[in-house]
Amino acid sequence: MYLLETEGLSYQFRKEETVLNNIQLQVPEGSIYGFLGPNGAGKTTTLKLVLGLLRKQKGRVRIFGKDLDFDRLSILQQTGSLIESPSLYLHLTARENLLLYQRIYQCNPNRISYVLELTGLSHTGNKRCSSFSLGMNQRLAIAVALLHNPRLLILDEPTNGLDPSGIIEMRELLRSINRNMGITILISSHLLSEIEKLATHTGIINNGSLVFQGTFSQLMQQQQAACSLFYKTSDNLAAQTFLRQRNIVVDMDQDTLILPLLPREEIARINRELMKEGIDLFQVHAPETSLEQTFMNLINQN
Amino acid sequence: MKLLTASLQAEWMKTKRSAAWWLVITGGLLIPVILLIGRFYNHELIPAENAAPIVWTKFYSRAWNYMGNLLLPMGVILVTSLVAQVEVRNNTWKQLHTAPLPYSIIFLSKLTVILSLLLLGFVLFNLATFGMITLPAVFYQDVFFPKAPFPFKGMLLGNAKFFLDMLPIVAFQFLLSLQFRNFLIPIGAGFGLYVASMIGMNWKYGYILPYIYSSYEFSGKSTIGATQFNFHWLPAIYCLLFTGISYIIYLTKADKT
Repeated sequence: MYLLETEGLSYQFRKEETVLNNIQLQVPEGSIYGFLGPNGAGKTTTLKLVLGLLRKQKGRVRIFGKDLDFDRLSILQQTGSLIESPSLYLHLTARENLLLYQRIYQCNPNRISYVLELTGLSHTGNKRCSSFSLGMNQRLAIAVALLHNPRLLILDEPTNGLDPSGIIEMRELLRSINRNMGITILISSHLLSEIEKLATHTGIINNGSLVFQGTFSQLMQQQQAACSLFYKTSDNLAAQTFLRQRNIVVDMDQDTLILPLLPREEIARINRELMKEGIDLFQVHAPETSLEQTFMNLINQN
Repeated sequence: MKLLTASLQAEWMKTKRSAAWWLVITGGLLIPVILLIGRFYNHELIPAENAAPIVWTKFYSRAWNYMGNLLLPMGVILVTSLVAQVEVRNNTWKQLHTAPLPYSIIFLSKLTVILSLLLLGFVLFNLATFGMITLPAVFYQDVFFPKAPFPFKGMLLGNAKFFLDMLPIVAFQFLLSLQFRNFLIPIGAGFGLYVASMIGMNWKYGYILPYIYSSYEFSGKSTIGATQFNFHWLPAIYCLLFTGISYIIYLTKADKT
């Protein structure tokens, strides 16, 4: 059971320009789901569709098991959001902004002091939001999103424009919200390092298509399965014949044999057998795959 | 009903310390205060003026003349655009549209707050005009409070007519402000239409101009052309028409950010 699911979500701004193509997001309950992708990949459009801010053209959005088309208000009652930049009434104070939303959500007025405390803004008093720093406004926007104690928080690039200490503060805040309150967080970013440090699950979008979805360890496994092993031997032709006899797919590129990445034990066994056949091994190389490289590979493949 | 009340409260809070709020207060008080200063300047005329049986009508008409012909339409154009565009200026449409409120409630609340501000402006203007007529009696020993009975019914009717005359302006400015993100478009269009209405005052078919009706009040006409049709139906019809179009445009907007 996923807290948020989309089925076949597609979107076009113009007829010839497909912005999203068959997006199947699956956000597990209790997770921090990092929605990753380069700028212009379709992250914000997806999140706007999920929140009903853009009129849906194709596909379905289900949140808390309910269809957005039929239960929009009850879904929004349990969802907090921050899309792109903070949305605040700059001529009002932090407390007044929250009071305004407290009326709309009809939640307990004590929540105002609670979320101000949680986001470290209880000292702002009569200061208007127009004189807040970007970091403070960003935190206030999170406070607004948390005011009604939502089950799901949807945040679109919440660390945009923050300095390094602001980014760390934001990360800690989100982590504690997830752990201590059990709030599921769907957070988008174009920064892999940011998502890697925070998220439990990830979805990678590129050119409007979801190219990966799962946990980070699944991402690494998937990528490693697509990796290769490089051999340089004293007799590449004999080694190729020997390996093919054992049903191992081998390609040759100049003086290098290319095999699919195999388990470590299998590599050791092949090495021993090649040595027994009198073939010397000059080099056995399995390139390390970093998460960053994996991400770039996925983006470039697409 | 609970949602509408909550939304109205929220919309009203947004006007706090806003330019629209100050404009309503200033606009409501400006003309009576200027006239009061004028009365104090010519204070030797006040005893005779306050003793005259037409004192209320005379000063209310004078105040409404300045207000209705110029300040009121301009003020309505500005206040409506300022209130309707508060979300654009603060980039808050997306937050408001992800709140659990039906679109119809959001639309209705905004329009109600604009009309409430307009009503507040009317109340302030009337109270200040009352003060303008009566206050000199507090400061000068030889000046008495007006003895003539206060024309309550006539004053209410006059206010109601001006309020009705303003409704097409409110509705059209609201439509423009919801449709365009650039603040200059509703303001520019509003002022342009107002000037066009002034030019069209002597035109045979001037009554079709939606921004003309408050000036029409002073022309002594109450019917359209040679017909017996009361022109006050026209602002009501325009208001309903513009509000309907505006609601449909708002509801069917594909991008609600």
